[in-house]
Amino acid sequence: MDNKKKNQWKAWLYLAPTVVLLLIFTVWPMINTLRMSVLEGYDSLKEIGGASFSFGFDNFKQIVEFYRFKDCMLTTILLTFITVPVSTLLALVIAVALNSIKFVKKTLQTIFFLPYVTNTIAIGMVFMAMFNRIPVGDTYSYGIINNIIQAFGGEPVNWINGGSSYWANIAVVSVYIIWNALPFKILVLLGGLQGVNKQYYDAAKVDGTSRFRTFWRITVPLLSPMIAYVVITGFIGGFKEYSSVLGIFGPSMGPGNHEMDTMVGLIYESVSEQQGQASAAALILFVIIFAVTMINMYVSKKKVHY
Amino acid sequence: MKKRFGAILLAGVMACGMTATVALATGCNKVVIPEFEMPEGGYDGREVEITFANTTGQNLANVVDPAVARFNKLYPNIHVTIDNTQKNWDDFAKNISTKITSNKHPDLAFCYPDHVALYNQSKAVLALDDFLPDGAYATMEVAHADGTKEPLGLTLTAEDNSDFFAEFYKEGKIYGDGKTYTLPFAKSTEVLFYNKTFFEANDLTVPATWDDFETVSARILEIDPKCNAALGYDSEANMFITMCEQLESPYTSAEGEHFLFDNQTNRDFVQKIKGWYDKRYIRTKETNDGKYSSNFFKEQQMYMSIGSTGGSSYQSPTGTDDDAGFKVGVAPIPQWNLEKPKTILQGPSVCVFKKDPYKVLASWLLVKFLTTEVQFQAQYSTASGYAPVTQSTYSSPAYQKFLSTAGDTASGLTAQTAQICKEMADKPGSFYVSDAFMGSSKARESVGILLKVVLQGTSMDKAFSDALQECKRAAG
Amino acid sequence: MTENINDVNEKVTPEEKEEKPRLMKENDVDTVSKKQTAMKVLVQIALYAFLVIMALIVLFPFYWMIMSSFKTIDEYDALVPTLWPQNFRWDAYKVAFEKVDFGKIFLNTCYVGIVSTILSLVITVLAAYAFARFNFKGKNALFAAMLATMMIPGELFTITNYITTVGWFGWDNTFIILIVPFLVSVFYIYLLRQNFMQIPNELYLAAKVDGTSDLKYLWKVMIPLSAPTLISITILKMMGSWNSYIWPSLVNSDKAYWLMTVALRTADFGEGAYVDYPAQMAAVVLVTIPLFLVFLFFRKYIIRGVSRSGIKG
Repeated sequence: MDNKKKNQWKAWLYLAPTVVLLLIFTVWPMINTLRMSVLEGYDSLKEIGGASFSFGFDNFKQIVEFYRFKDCMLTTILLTFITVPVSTLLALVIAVALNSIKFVKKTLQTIFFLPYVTNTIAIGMVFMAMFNRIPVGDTYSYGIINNIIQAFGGEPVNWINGGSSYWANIAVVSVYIIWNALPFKILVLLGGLQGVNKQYYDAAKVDGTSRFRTFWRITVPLLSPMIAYVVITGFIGGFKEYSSVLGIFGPSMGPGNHEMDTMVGLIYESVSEQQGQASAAALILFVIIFAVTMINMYVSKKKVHY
Repeated sequence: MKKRFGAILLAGVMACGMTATVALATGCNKVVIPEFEMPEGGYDGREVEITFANTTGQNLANVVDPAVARFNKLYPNIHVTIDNTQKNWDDFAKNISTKITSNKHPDLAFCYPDHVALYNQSKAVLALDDFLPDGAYATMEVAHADGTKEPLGLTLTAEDNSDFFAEFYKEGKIYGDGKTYTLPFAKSTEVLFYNKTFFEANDLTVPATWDDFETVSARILEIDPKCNAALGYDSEANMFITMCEQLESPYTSAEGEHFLFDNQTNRDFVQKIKGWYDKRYIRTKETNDGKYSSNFFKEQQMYMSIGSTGGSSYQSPTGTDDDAGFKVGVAPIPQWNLEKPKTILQGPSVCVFKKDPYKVLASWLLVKFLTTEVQFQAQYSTASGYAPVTQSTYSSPAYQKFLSTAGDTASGLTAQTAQICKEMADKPGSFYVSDAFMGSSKARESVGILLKVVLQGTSMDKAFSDALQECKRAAG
Repeated sequence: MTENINDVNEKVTPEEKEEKPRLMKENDVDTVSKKQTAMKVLVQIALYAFLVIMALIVLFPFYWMIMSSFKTIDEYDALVPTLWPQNFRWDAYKVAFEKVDFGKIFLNTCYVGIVSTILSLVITVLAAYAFARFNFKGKNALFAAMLATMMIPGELFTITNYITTVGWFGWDNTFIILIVPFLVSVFYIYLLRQNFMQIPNELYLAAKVDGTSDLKYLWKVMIPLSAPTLISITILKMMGSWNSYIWPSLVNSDKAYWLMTVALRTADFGEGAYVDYPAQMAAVVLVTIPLFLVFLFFRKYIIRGVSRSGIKG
């Protein structure tokens, strides 16, 4: 009879360090964010200088009416809905493929984990070199991607430089995000696959089930907790996307004037000039991510098998 | 037993966490910036520790450290810590503004006018007026360790410490309230580098005006139609603001309506630059896909390049090799009106933060020492390529010796640009500094983007309207 | 479905080995038609082609990082980038060694990396265990709340956390400030919880019947079974210490407490148009080597996974 009660406090004991640290370093800053968002025109330096701020929702109004707000929102949503499914599926296929080969298996697995220890500075530079074009005299020298296109007889595309199209930019940023996300997802899914019992596959083999069917009917359901994790955190991360755009375009966040800017880009930019508006934007984003995560959780509850 | 212990531990940890959170919530942001009041008797030689935040790298540390040692001979009890963690100017300013929220900011720091406007949201920067000529404390005396004395402030009469170039000195006073917040530390400007060998071979004249520039560029493109452009002007923002200044057209103002740059004169010159761009007369860094003009200049794909005097050594074809492929000439940048030439003034100044009064006094003494000591200023300028800020440094034998190396070869380039900088400093009104206020750095960034996107094909109306909206938000 | 899986799991025999299915497959070949064999070969070829292409793509930044460190500044800056250095030079490494005090910085980074990884692992394991195995009031609410904390961009917290740690706790210029604020990662707790939940409940109930304590069960069963995930977390956490920049440079101006990236970015490799990128890349390569070795050491554990044989015995 005590067992349940005992479990109660035991669980909280296990959780104590986590909860305390979260309260101090995460919950309190969140409360402060809320406070800043409802003080009109809030700025911490001005506050020290003795300014006072009136309570109100002006920050929310200002940021929503800002001329780039809608574009930032749209780009964020677009990037998230492109990159999460693609990277998850790609990682899943790579993980399963890695798990089902014999020859040079270890070498290939090692290679896929290597990007883990590649410094982020290096990755940004590589991308520039691949998609960039560089003026040489009155013409251009193109990066590897365009060289490949030209080798197949195509016209070089202006991917990221001045005057490039929105969709070319979206394509490059998506590739960059997927590339960055792959190693971790592969690692998580491969880790999950190690935990999957081989017996199911043996059973499938005996039944003569096709590879494709085995993949969808056995691998995916068995991996579903890890897939759910990768998808849910992928969506959260996707809505917080920022550094990849910065990595490719620098502070202008686009080939000209913030064409590829995301919500978090807008928030970070605002932190230094309009803390109140930055906090308001963060709360708006929070509500959106929360709603999407709830939908994700609801779906995964129905589909995930533990 | 075990169970009780666990429960108590849990309760204890939770309670601590909650208390800490509540304590923080109620006590947050109680930082008070003290107003400076002169202590009885001024600085009395007591022990003081101060931190000096700057962006000097290892090379310049070799100049700064001995200077601090010389300062310590006069004031052995002032202990100076140099903080040069941040090198990027934006990070540098962000870092300090965050530190102000916990009163952990340095006692004195390198600064650009925009930074001072940012810090002063919290009223943390000390107005230096009382220490300047005719100020309340200017003639107060302070004793060195060896018993000799010096005036605490800057005095008009002293032969060596009132001789800031007026052009540099006035930068401290552009905040709209009539007060002086900074002293110049080391200065730079923009000059025109040109391919002297090419110009001489083709009998071209170095452009003094933008009209000359059009003529010369047309000739250059006839001679080398395959070149990248006639002129590379790295900074779009500098170009826009310099054009405003040269045409005496409004840009920004610290008082009243801040953002005045959307006017017909400015739209006209942007249109004109667009014309030059289309004819390949000019490229900027961003419209050349982010590559610095010096790269093209060195490879003779451009024949003129406008850049900072601080980076002149990078404009020479093979670094320090004097047998480079071509010779480099230096000239002032082209003007619209030769009667009233205007060129941008850049380079760090120093500001002092309001702190404990003895820290303020110690910081001020260090500022005064570093900006006026001839030996330091001469060494710093020689090592960095920046111009010294006082007349006496300029005429000192050490600096004159450096200037005598001026020439059109790689090693003589820095001295050559320094000389041009001095010639401009001697002409009152030849430098300009834009007003600083909350939002001035955004204005600078926005007009740079404006020029870039117009060159890349965006409509004039959209570019100007976007830039204005960005600025208005930043000014809050 | 859940029931089903557990049923099958009960039948796991100690002799299960990774290679077993392969053997079975080869035995089965006799019964399969020639056509299917050809099909299988084709599938294998396609698999390898796919993996190799993806591997090359994934590997490219790593390759670029190393190659750049051997170029001259001029070649690096060249208007047309080269894939292979025209002539290999070690100069960049000499410069890197001159500019960065690797010894001290390396020790600092290792110290912070190791301490924060260990503490973080303990905290993460305990929390994930509580969420995966205990039923307590408010469990779902707490978990949802914790997930919610992931949803606000962290940069907004910088100023508040700075006031907390520096203004209130006075932790500036210490190692504590680099470790404590980042010990909890909901991201990892969630990952590990998912992993723990994959482990069948029957094992836990059986252990309970045997009178095994929770902690012992956690230590003897859960942790070994989740080794790949724990190692992933370890590597990520170590990388975190190696790559963190904004916070360390804000809170610790004293060189005695600097970490890798702060030292690298502060080192005088030039600025603006004139950065000595090869030297910077060389420094990056140098600091990557120890990480790479750690990674190679752990790799076999990730890849080998855990054979389930030991569990039931």
